[in-house]
Amino acid sequence: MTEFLLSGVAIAVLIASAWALGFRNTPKLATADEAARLADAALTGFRAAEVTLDTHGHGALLRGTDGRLVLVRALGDRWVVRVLGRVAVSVEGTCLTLRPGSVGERATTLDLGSDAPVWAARLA
Amino acid sequence: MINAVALATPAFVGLVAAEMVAVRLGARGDYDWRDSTTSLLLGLGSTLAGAIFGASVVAMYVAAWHFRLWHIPDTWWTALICFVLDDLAYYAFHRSAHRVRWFWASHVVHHSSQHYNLTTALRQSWTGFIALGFLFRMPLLLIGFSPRLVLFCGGINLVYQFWIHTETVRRLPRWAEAVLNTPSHHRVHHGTNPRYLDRNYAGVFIVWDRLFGTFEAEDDAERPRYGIVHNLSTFNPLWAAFHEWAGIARDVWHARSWRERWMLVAGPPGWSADGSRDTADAIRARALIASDSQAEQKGSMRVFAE
Repeated sequence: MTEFLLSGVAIAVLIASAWALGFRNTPKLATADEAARLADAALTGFRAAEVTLDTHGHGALLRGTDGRLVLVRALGDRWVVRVLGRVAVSVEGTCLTLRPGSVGERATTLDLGSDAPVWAARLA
Repeated sequence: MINAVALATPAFVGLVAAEMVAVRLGARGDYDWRDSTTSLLLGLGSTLAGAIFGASVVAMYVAAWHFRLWHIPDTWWTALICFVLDDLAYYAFHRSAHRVRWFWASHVVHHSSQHYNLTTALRQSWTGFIALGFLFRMPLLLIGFSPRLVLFCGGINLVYQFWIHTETVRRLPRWAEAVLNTPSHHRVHHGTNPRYLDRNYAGVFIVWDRLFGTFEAEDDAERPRYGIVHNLSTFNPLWAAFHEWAGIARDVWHARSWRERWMLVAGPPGWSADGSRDTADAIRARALIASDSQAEQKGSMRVFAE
């Protein structure tokens, strides 16, 4: 029990150290090419036909030449890429919110500007 | 009985802290506090799982040892032989852990970080006992090595594998890269780049991969992209620990035949009856086709330019 508690303390110290040392970045997508590269790397052979970036660079939606719709979104200081299947969508102003039905997947909100309703229609 | 992992734990903590500082000062590598939190909590949970199931594993090892073919004494030279054979057993376990979904469901936890640093080494499974990975060491006990010696060698093997989870060390001397599993070789193992998928299963001695055709050298022109083919979209350690088991349960529930159910459990990770998902072999084949077609396009452009 003592060993377990000591391990807990050591873990807390290491997490605090990581935070204090500045390992808490949030990535930003600067270009459509970057989003396309991420999708291609995650989905070998994926070719983007159209890319819409979140206006703050927090993610992107892509349409592939094969018709697949793909989400790129941040997780910590890295990116997660998902082929979108069944997903609930809602639009509020210029923001599109995606709510995947599967367990372990979080809702994602992207500010897509005037493209938000276009993507909502595609995903509906 | 000497618990090598417990003895090494203070050193693990010190080395993680040292690597963090080194990276902050400019050494190669990267950390994210959220990712490290998940890794460390999974490590803590793994220790707890070991405390719960460890006695059962020891009891089974002792039971198996009663059926041993020979009596092998615990000496320094039998310890060396046991260590090498245990590493071969680890290779077999580890290769199966990547090629059979049942074993992968437990092992995937260790690969689920998109980072590669010393905390990744501590990101360990909670369900190793359920996955039956301990069975791979049974032949050593049936040969006649004592449970005490086998568990000691296994502990040393695990402790060795801690320090190779780093980007800070680039290459070791040539002789070491030829014989041992090194940070470079193991970075390849954690890579999801098609050419790196399912390569370098070694624990301590990389010679097993060279011998059995699963070795791939790290190419400095292609840095490994760490993680899993379908990266997790949450830092929740519970989901990290159980997501593949949940996936197996869901797939088996929806399967239409017993053959399909068998393949979903004992087939390679990513197998599906309709081919809608990708195994490592399928990804590698697709990458090869894509790279051939790119090369062809470049070739025809060159001919056109001439």
